Amino acid sequence: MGSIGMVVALLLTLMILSYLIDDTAVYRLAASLLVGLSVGYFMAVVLWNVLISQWREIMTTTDSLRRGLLFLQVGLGVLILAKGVPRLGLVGDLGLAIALGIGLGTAGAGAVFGTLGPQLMAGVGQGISVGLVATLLALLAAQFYRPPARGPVWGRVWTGVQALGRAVWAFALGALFGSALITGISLLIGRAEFLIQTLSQWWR
Amino acid sequence: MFRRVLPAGFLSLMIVLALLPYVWPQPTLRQSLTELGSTLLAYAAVVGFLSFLEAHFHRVGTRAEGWPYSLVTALTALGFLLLSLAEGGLRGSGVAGPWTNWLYQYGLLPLEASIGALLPFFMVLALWRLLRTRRSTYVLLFVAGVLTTLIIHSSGTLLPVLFGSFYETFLSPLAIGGIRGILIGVAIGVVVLMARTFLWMDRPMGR
Repeated sequence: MGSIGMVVALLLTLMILSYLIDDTAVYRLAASLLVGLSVGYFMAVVLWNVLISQWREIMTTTDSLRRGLLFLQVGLGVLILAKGVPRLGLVGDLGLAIALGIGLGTAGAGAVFGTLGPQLMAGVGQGISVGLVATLLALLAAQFYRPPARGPVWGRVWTGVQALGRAVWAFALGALFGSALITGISLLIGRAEFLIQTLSQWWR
Repeated sequence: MFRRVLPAGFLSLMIVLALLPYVWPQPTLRQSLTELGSTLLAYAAVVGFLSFLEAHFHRVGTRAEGWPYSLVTALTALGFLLLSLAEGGLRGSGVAGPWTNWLYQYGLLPLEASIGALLPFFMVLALWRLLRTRRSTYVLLFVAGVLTTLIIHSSGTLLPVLFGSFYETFLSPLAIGGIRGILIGVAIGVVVLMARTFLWMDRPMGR
């Protein structure tokens, strides 16, 4: 099984890397397999880890309050399934509204307590520094705030501050791009190592 | 009127309920809401999966351009799911069964890693195109950011030693400060989106 698996893995790797020569049918076939396997795996995880385990718990639990809560969850889930049936529009809308509401509330709370709070504390905690100035310039460039017009000089100052903020954005995004590039290079080295090791084993 | 108000009201109510455990710490409420959120997302994933299959089989049925790839995609997804259900039903192992595990180890993992290995080629090509088509100060600063990261991580060379102190005192705080500014901007955007939806100024569900 293991050696057949290595052959399959090698073939799939070569099929994907064939894109470096040209966008061929071989590459597209491998890309289709990747999408299909990813979606299938995701759905299998969702089914086994969330839905089936929940249905099993409904069957086995003796706690009536817990069972009622689980039935409520399943009922609300069925509302979302109703979204797929156009004739049951309002019912489906209710399920979607519940899912969106929980998602937005959690995301908003995460943004306030997980990002805004810690990042503001970390930024201000350094005192006046290059980092704090860069943070303020980057924020001003995001155009959440626009001061009222107070003559051409003030307008030029504001434009200059925004240009500096955009410059900070460009440098910071470049640094992030560089980090992603390093990750990609690590993956490339990993794949090259796999190809060399597998082929050299067979050569011997 | 009723069809619009009822879902919008539910949406606002759910936003308040989701925020409640953060301002009034109640572990039971937080756990219940987390469970409810993951359950609803799971059902939404089922709807999404059915829609995915419908879209691909429709392409196959109408013989649209590239339909064989759609057929392979849909059959692979369906096949993997049925295999995991069969293995789970027979052995009770779910996604950890021997066949699904084999497909994951020798199919999905190499494919994902290989697509990731193509990433540097795409990125360098994109950077090259950017430099050819746009020549502005911002593009030069972007390239400077990329080069700074590459130089500082080029272990085994003298470059990190040469640029080390300048990087530590100026470039690193500049990049981290900029990223912090972007993160804070995104967080403000999320909070504003939540507030606008709560106040019915935005309607993410249409109509």
